[in-house]
Amino acid sequence: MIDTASLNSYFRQHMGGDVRVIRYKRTFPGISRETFLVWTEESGAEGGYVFRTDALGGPICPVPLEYEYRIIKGLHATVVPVAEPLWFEAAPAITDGRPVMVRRMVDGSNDLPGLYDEGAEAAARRQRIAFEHAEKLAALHTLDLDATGFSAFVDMPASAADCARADFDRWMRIFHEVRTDPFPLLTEAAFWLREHLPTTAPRISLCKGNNGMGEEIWKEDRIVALSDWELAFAGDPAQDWALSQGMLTLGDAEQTLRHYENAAGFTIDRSSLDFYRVWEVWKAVPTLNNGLRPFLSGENPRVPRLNLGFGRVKLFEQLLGMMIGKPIDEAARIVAEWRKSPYRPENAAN
Amino acid sequence: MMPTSQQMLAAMQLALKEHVTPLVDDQWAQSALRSVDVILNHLQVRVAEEGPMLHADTSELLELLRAAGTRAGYADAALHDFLAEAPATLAGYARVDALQALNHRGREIVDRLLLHCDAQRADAGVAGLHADLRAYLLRHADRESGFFFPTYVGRPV
Repeated sequence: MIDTASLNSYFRQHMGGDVRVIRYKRTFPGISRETFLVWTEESGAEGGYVFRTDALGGPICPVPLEYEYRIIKGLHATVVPVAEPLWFEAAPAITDGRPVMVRRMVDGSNDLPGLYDEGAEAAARRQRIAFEHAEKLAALHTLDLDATGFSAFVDMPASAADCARADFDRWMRIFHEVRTDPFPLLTEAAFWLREHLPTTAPRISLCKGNNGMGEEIWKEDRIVALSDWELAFAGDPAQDWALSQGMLTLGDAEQTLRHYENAAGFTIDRSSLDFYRVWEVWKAVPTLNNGLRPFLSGENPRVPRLNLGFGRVKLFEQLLGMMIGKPIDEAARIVAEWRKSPYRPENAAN
Repeated sequence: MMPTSQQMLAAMQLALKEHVTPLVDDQWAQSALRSVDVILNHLQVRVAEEGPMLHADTSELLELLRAAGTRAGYADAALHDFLAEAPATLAGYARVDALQALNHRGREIVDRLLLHCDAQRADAGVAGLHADLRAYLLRHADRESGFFFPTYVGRPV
């Protein structure tokens, strides 16, 4: 059980007797994995740490926590801002054997107060924030994956041209491993998407997976840490823009992409971006449906697992049914319209 | 007369909305209430319609899969068992859980048939079956649409 006493004992075990946990807080929402902010007193000073573990029955995303830890550890030695990774434990007693990783807490917030205020000044600020995010993605996407060691443990496409195909094959395998329903509509949608796989990419990049609003740590409108790396992969950088959660609607999308292209030194194929916007809807089904398995087995019978792993999944299936067989640009427009629904962070604030 | 299941679910929802939600400040508790509200919305549609929906859908599946063997030269034990068992289940008053299980098995066969059609896609006869399978999938999605749309549109947690 995680409480002040058990955290105190755990941190002392790892950091020595001078450390005392003074308070902790579980972050919201944290459905896939549980994240705790832990504040300590150590030799008269205050310390802050982020303690992250799998939820009961396993995470929603079908990716081990150790993979995320290795990604962060690799990035910490680069220009890409991430929280300092401290340790990973595969099966500690404090979580009854669930894996744990601990990072140093970064001074900042994933919230940007006033971001959606009205007026020209607020609009200009939003564009600056979109540019800041674009620059950080460019820094990530231009890393040398061999020199930084990522190619040693991240699935690598055979070539840049093979990026979309490699991601397609990988997620088809995951889909067959984790699905809790036959989902034949997903199989049919996969055949349709397979016909439209992009066959070019500017390079093979380390991509973050979920990125953008709500995912990164900000301070004074600058990103101080890119956070949440469980869906990181090697692939076409255009795919990250398809997952950029509100960043392309924060300002002028074309200006933001051009800013990124200037920083990265290559261009994003807009038709590839359309494809990945639709592909990410398909990928959301196995990703979220994996979270239903511990619900069905009784290991984690909590309502968020039910709503994400079942209801949300069926909603995405409905969305794919609306798009299947259509030209990809038309399908991408359907996704864009669908994403304007009020729950999106950029709309929720209005 | 007895209140319907939908009326009872709606009463639970109203009780939470009127007496619990206004008092809850904690964001985890608010999230739990949002999730429960979504599930109650889902159940109000599903409880009434799932049985008839599954019966109609599985009846269509039976006809589709009966024809599949001859049209695509496809045969496996699961298809054989489904064709042997489905008529009796569909003929009588079937429990919803029995229909769910039967429909699940039928859609598993559809999934395998799709892979078969994909592997044989040069064959014009198979292309016709593939088109019928796709049309069924879209009708299935349409039949259960009301369970999920717009119920699950909104904040995910």
